[in-house]
Amino acid sequence: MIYFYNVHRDYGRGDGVESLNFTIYKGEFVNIIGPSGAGKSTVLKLIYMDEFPTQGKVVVDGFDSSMVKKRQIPYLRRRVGMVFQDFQLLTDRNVYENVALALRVTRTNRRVIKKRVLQALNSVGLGHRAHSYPQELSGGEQQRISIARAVVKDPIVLLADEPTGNLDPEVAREIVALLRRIHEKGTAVVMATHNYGLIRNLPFRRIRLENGRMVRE
Amino acid sequence: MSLGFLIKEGLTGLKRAKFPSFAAVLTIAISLTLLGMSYLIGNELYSLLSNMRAKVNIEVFLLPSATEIDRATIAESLDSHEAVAAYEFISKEEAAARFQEEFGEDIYAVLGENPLPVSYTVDLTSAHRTSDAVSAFVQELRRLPGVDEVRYRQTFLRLLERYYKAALVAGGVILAVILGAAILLVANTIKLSIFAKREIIRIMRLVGATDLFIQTPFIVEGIVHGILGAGLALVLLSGIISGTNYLFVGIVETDIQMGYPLLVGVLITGTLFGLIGSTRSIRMFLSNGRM
Repeated sequence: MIYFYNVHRDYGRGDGVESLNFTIYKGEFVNIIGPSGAGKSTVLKLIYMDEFPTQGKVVVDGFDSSMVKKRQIPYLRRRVGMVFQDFQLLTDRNVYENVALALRVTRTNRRVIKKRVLQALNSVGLGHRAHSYPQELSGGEQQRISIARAVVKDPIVLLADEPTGNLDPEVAREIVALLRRIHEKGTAVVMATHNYGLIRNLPFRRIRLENGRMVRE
Repeated sequence: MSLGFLIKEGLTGLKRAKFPSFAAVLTIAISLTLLGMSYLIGNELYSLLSNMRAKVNIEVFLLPSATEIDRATIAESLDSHEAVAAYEFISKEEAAARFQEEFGEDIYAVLGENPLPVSYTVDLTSAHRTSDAVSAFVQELRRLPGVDEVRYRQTFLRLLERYYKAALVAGGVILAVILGAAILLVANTIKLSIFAKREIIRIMRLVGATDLFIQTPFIVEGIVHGILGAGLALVLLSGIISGTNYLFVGIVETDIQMGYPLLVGVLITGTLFGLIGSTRSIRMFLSNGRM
């Protein structure tokens, strides 16, 4: 489903990633681990095609980085859910509108939007906060909303870039548990984290990066 | 569903970025007011020059020996010539009466006779009030039998034309400069208002919005900015017009009117400013931004 073929991404500053070869299969849960600056975020950006390889290619659900056109990228992103450390919610609209945005851009019917947004909010345990604004919620709740926004469009893969980076350990564990529940329903999850302790006991494959290279899979 | 959502997004965008919106509307309004004022000044100048040109007429004096046949030939030429709007025959007696009117003297009492010749006064059609056309027409008239002399205000007409051309060039340059500055200002202000919303653009891109989807609310917002700016400019212009008419009442003959061309012109230009400014700015922003 996600293929990295000898991928290099050189920023010309001595950082970036090199010689990445791996596959992430449908419905898999993969952790990308490594210290800050190891290239974890770059790997995720290469998957949602915010970055492109300077050598090699990435193929995601049939979208080939070496051939994809700029106007096709929105359609790739509708198949990929994204969650970030800083939540990336819009503070000028409420929780419902934040989650609904992911479906509005796909021109989904209004009734369908309503049903799926409420389902997504319930699945993250925040159905009752639909009318709240992000700034009225705790960090953990905001991250749940951003997860709801990522899963509402029923993606093939959920990419989480340090999703627990801004949260205390207890809340971080809850977020990981939520990601596991999403995975159990059949969605692939790729989580990048530098917090090894958080994923140490998870029974999933790990891709370890150091200085932009894979050191162990 | 989408169009409704996008229009609503565009309209709420005005509320969300109040200051940049206000700046864009104000910039458009000031630019349009300046353009409107240049138009009004140009228009007044044009009608002043046209009025002065309309006063240019030709006098055709006949020889004392001119016969009835000569007169008929001249009248026939004037009747059929395209340059002639109207003409008037002035007999010796009529000429004497005008002399008395102008100089307050009875020509018979001064000279003991009336040496004033018979003449025609010819008014020209507006298309033939140029010095070249008048000069060609005068040459034709001079060749007619019985014509002694043909007079018109040649120097005045040439001077008027020179001023007219200079005013046209100066007006064009001023208008082009204001228009250029206005477009730059409007585009920059709209760029600022887009920059204020870079966060929502980034997130829309993350969740898979196409460029068209992202652009539409900004274009709707740009059009609304343009219309509001035009409305404000019309208010300012009507204030300026009333003020000018009030200030100059009794000093010079002036009655400046807003008029449909200005009204419609300001509305269309404002809308175009908003439309083109926002389309260009958002496209540039989207093609530069990576996300």
